[in-house]
Amino acid sequence: MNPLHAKSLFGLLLAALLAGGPLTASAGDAKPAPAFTLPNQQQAQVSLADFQGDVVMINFWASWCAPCREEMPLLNGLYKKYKALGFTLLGVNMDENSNDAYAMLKEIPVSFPVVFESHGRVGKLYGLVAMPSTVFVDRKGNIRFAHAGYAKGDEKEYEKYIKALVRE
Amino acid sequence: MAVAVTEVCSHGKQRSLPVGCGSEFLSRFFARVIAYAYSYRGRKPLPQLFCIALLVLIGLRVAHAAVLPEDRADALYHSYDGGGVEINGPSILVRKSIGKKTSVSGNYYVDSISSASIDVVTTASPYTEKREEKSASVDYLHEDTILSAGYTLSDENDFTARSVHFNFSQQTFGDLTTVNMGYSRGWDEVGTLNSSEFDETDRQQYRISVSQILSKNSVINFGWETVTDEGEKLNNPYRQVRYVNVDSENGRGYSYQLERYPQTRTSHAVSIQGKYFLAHRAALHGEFRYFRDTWGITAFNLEFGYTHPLDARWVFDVSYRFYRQQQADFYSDLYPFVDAQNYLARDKELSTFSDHSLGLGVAYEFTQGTWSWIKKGTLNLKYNYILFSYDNFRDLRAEGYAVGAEPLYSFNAHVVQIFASIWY
Amino acid sequence: MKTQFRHHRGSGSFRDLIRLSQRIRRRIAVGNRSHSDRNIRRGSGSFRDDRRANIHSLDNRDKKSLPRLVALAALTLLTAALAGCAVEPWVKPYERANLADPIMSFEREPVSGGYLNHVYQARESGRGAEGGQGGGCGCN
Repeated sequence: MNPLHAKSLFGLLLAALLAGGPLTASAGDAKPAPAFTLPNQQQAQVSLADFQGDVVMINFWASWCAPCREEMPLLNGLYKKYKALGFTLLGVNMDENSNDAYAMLKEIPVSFPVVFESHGRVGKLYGLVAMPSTVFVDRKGNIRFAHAGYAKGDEKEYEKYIKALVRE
Repeated sequence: MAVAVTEVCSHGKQRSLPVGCGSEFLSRFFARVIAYAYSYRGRKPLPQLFCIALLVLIGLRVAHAAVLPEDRADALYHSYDGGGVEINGPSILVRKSIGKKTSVSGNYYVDSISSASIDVVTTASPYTEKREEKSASVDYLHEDTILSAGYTLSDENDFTARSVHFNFSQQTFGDLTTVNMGYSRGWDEVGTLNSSEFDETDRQQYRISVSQILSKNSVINFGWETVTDEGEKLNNPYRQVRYVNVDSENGRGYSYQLERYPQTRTSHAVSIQGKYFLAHRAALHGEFRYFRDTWGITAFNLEFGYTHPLDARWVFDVSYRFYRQQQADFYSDLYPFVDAQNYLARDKELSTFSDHSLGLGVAYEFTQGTWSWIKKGTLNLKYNYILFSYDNFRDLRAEGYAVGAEPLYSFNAHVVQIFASIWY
Repeated sequence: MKTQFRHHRGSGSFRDLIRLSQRIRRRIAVGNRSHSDRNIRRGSGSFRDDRRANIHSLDNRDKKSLPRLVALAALTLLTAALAGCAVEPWVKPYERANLADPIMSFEREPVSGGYLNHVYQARESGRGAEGGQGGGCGCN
């Protein structure tokens, strides 16, 4: 028996294709956002729970990640535009050395709260698959939308999610 | 693009077996492959290896992180000077994304050649010529996959080459692995100046490379490439071989006849490259490649390099490369008589030789500043010194030696590159 | 871990695989609707049976074809890649600070690297597998 002839290989390939492409969670699924508490630049502890009742956009970023840098001023714009409607943006910096992040914030200052995670634990908790990653938490504390990465124009998608959630 | 973040976050530490893409199927598939590989070598599969394969496959999860190449433009001036040959000219490369999913690039490259190489000096007369190469390519991003297609056109006065390229790049296994597969097909038209006839050469290239992130500080790349050539004239139509002839016109005991090559050539090359990040922000790299072809040529090269940034603005590079090859079966520096064998070659590139190359580079980075549409830019200077030493190619310029006892040929080359790059 | 190798009962193994994939696919579809079905995947005895059934004794293959092995390895990668698989990465996306550094790129200067390859290709017989892609931060 020779199970590795061409037909079989083709079969394998076909099987792999049938096994399905990537699984994507549908955007409407509600899951409680895992709780975390992290220090801000002033070393005060900030919890996700502190923002209960608000729509929270959690943005995971790092100073070495070019797209993160690119979206930072845009995020600041979104924060300013919607904060009056019970919306907040919470930046979670994932740099191993927080000093790198402080330096970048000096260069690109933002007005939304930023906390610092130098051990990656919260990243694991949220199962991040890319940098940057952004999740949108509704007023009840459930994750409703998630977005991996940043490419020019993604801010429009962010805005769509924010608008949908602040209206609730 | 919604991702599987929500899939994970509610479980915290307790991870269930994820859905992924059929881990059962794949684990069995891998088991087969490993078992097959071991049985091939007449051994039983190692249980450990088997376990590792399964462990790797447990925990399949989805990610979307393939990235299109960055928008950038490069303008390079290159100069090669060695062995009586001077080649210089510009190379311009521009890359721009269109929307989120597509990136296009174009390259314009010129070689202005002025040749008084040893072949030319001994059997022809010095010449100058110009080669122009234009290429364009499109990259298309779909989730974790990048599909690319390109076209290249190269023109010389007696030589035209066209080629098409296709490439498939896929990130997988948690984005730690990038698999690249490529195919190229080319058509060369070779003519001789004094005849209107053209010979066509057909070239096909098959490539696979796998890039693997090993740790936070190291990445490795495996490459394989097979190239096949088919055509009437795989040799340079002007190049000649020499054979012993006591009654030769030049009175030196040998005469010349034209080269004659086989009409097909297939070559295989495998390579491994690694990069390692050093704690103080510097990088080491190493490369090894092994090559062989159906003409009996075998070759390898080994390279080491060190990259050292200084104050975020300067980057210094130093590298050393060694190359060694064994000659083609039909190569000879001196044939015993005319038409001594079916195939004849005295191209020094087909002989046994080695070369050493020492590379130095410096780059200066500038940021934004005057032009706001520029994200950053670099100015670069690179220099390579290459020393070629031939084991079986004699310097026929030397006078007063017996036939076949002339000194072996060697020469050095200076390669300079000056270029500017901008990112926008 | 101990795994048994046995001869397969018949020649329909790949059809089994396809059927299995379809089953998995259906479960994925179910999983998307409701998140409560994880346990189904765990216990299912039929999967175990399938596993045993599909791993062959591979000792009596013809041993002459190294190219076949290479092709198989390539196919493995292709298959896995096409299946859109991703394992739990041991280097997380947020741990790629060093890998994202341009000095870690195999091809930091494509125009310069391309030129130097051209120089070597013109002076040496060796060609192909010059490498170049990969590395990077995995940023989107």
